Amino acid sequence: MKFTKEQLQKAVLATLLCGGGLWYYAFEMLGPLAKREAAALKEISTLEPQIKEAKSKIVRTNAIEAGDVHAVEAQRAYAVMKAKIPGGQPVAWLPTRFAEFFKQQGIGKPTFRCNPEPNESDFPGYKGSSWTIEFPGVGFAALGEALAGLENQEGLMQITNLQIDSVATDAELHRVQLTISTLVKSEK
Amino acid sequence: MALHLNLYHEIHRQAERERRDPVKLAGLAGVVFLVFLVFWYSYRLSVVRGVENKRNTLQSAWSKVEPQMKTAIGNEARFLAQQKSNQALVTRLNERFYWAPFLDEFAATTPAHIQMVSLTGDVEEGKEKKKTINVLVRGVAAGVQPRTAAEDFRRSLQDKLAGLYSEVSAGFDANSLEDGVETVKLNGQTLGTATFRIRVQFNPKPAQ
Repeated sequence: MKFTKEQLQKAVLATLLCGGGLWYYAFEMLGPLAKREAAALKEISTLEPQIKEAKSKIVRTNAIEAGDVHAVEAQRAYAVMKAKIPGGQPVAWLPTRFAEFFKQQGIGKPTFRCNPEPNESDFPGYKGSSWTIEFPGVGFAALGEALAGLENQEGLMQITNLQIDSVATDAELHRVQLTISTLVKSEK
Repeated sequence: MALHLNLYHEIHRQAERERRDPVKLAGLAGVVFLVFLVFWYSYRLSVVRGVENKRNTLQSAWSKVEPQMKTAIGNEARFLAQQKSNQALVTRLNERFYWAPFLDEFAATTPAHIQMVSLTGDVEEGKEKKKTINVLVRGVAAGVQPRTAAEDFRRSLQDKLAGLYSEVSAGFDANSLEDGVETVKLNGQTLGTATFRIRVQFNPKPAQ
């Protein structure tokens, strides 16, 4: 079979057109598609673990919030503290308040001494305050009753040290020294 | 044998030539190939669009979740601090030691022939906020056998406190139980005395 010159020209032209078309198809149509796909897959592979981790963090935080079994009781206590503890320096109100209480209990005339502040930073807005209260002469039974009343009334107070000495001149009376620790409003 | 002449042989040859025309065949093959290319491109396009849709969905989800996560991270430290603070406050309120019941029990346990000279009590906070109460009692016991009277007092104190608290121990300090030089009159009877120091230690949690 012999091709004429015109046929050969047509064949070459057709081959060139086909080659060009294929190149265009592969590099200008499928190529960008593959790039788009690769970019999207790369983003998916980044986003999927990110979203998973974010969701687990949200769940964990919610669990922490829901798992606070003391929240209700503490909120109630904070509300009481807010209402009952006056602002300002404790020296301005604490001795007066306690002295008034002991006066009502019939064991008046205590002396108060402020101790260095205990390091209690667990309670936001509040700080520890330590005091030593001395009674020169008080009966054992009266002391017990007064302490029971004080411990029931002052829920945040803890008597950390108690010293009872008998008075040589009177067997019925005792010299008592209490060291108490309580919470007061922080001025910071 | 009859002679058979094909008068249409030229027409037949022409038809045969047209049927095997390579240009026409190549054209047909080209059309089929083109259809395949169009189909393949459409398929790839739909696959890529599916992947891109998934990406867009995830991006949208991320844009919603990201601020929530940032808030959660910010809140986590606050919640943990608050939880710690709440627990500390509740523990402080619920686990404080009440001295009044102790003094009441102590007074009830102390008989008339035991005279307390001094009582010192401390609340000691150990590891994990475990509280231990330390009490030192100095006193004078009177009796026909004053040492025995002191020992009876120590035992009864230990037994009574064991009913209220846990891990109770009450013992005389070393060489603290000594015969006193003085005598006392109790109910018209002259009795010898013994001085003692009893060290009491217990966990304020109720006895099991």
